[in-house]
Amino acid sequence: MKMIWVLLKNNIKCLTSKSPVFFFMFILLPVVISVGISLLIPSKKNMNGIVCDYSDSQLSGEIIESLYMNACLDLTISDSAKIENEVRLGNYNFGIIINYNFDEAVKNYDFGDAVEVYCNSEGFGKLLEETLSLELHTFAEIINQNNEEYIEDIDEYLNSKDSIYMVNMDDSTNDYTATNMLFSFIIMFAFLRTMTGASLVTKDRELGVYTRILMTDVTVCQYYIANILSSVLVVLFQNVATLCLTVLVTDIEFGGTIGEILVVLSVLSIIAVALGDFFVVCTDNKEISNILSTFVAIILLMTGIVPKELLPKTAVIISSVIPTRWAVNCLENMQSGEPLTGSIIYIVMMLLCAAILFAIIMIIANRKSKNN
Amino acid sequence: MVVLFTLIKQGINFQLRDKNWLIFNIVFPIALLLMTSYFMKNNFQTDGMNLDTVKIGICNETSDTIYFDAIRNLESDVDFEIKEIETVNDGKELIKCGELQVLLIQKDEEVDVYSGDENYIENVYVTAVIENIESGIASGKVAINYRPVENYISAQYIETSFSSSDYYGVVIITMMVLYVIIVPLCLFSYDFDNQIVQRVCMTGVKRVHYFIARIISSVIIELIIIIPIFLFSVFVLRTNWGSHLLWVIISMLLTIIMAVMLGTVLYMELQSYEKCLLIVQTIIIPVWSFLGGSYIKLNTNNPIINAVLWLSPLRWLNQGIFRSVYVNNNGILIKYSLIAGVAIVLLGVILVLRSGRRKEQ
Repeated sequence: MKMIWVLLKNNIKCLTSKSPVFFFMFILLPVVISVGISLLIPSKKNMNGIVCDYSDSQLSGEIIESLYMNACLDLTISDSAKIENEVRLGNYNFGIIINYNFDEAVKNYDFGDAVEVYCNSEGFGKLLEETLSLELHTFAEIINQNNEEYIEDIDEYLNSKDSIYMVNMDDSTNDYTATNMLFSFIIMFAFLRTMTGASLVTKDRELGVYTRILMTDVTVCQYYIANILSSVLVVLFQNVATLCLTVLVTDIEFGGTIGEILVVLSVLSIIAVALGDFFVVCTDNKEISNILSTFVAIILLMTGIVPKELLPKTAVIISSVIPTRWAVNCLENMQSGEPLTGSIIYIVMMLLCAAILFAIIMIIANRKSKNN
Repeated sequence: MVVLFTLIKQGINFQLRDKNWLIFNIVFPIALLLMTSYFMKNNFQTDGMNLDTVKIGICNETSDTIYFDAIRNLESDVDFEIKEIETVNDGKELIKCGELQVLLIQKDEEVDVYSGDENYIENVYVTAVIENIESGIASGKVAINYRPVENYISAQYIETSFSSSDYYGVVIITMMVLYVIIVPLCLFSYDFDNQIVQRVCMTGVKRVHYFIARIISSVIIELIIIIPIFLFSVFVLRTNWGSHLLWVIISMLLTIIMAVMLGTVLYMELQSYEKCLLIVQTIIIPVWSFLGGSYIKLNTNNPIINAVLWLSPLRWLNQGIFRSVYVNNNGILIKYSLIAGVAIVLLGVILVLRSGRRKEQ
């Protein structure tokens, strides 16, 4: 036990590069960046559109306001005329150009002249045509019935609408798109961090430290336990820091309590560490294990990012045996109102997966040690 | 010149001595390309809104049935199978077991639309329908003599041939271009740790020549890795690289040189392989890749966030390539090539100054 403790302390010193500034910078900086950029993610549950308002009149402001109020649209205002290109590039589902003569065209019921609409989906395009036509027709009716104060009447019309909410299964209206992206990023950074823990083994081997340590009373098993524990502790600290920072700095809702999320991330961190060490033990090569860990981290990020409902059928089957998907399943269950206990099967599977990996690591390491 | 050539050759041989390293570097990006193209396939399909039937549950918490009457009488391309539900919890249970796709709850002056994650398309569709019904109801309240809509707007349908293999075929390769930062780190750490630099310079080779040779070696190594992956994307995945290949190749080559120079300067500053690797793998590559859209497509019109996105060279490169391919506009690629050229010159100046200082030390 004492041996493990000594090795553990030394590993943590090495992993934090013996400098707290370095440690905090490389733990907190990626977190700050990932929290910041996760806010960038457009909602997957809405139709994303871009609007360019050439008219810039009160009336065009009202139609934009009306589109903003629409629960299924996520709108961006742009002053660029390249809206068609944006839709062509797949950056937005639809684009609307409000022409210079918008007011006049609406008054004359000439809606085709008032706006230009571009859409990349025929099914949604029809709905959008209907939405805009209905809205502009109502505007035209109001203008032609009351030429003087039509803006007030249009405001009254917009305010008289009942509110429509897209509600999650946990009765919240939170948009979990950013949360799921952030969660995937926390996982990816955890995997990247474990690579440095695993690389300690190859470094020890290169410098002959590994052989010298094993010449003392330390066993192969103790050496690896110390390495795994130190990596787990560092990754755990990283995860706690991430979650605290996220809760303090942003209004992102995870769907479960911080404790529950931390449990899921902690279990996943253990798998991350096990995988990192597994690659090192199998390859005996720092650079190759680095490549392997990096690509596995990216693949795991991908399987976490893509919502299950958007995956092709075979990919759903493949992802169902990937630990990160189990973690994301836990998160999604919590977002649908279930407590973590409802996802206990995934937690057990993750722990089992980690245990199997650790067992394999020990077997390979022992075999290699005997051969040497 | 002969010495320079020998040094370049030796650098390439040193890095490629480990055949497994080379194979892994080529095979894994190809595997990643295949996986991402397949996994994200549905994300790039735009015909998801073409639904046939939607199973809707309705639960009325008020005496007003106006919405639900409207839905029942709606003429639509989509069939609505409507079921009346007693309570919200009953409806949620039916969604969980797949008997319902969307649940509508009518409250006082509010309609809540529930659905499971797998039914988000149906959710968006039904919400859009409800919004249109609501517009009709609200217009009836304010417009006295409301007439049926006659002049419908006609949307221009833009058919995009932008598939996941077109997107990931480009962004994974440009991300791999960034990984070249690691190559000079490997070369320099070996040379510095074993005093090879000093020994090479003792033979009369100028320090600057040594660095130039190592940079050229790294660029060639990266090309050896990238070319098979690029050919795979062109001939197997059929990624669309457009008709302005010259600009694409120039800008990618400049990115490779810039990445190698960055790796070199980073090593010169920190003089530690582990520290450099940590910075490159934990900060530079993930952050630039994310901002560049290597993992997932990002868009924003927020000027501040947009400025942050454009801090990544991969954003310039990827957006430049996509605009060149799909909009026939090389403006971003040309601008980026100029910026990359200036960055290479600046990094070169830093390198000359720093290597001179190290020599004095």
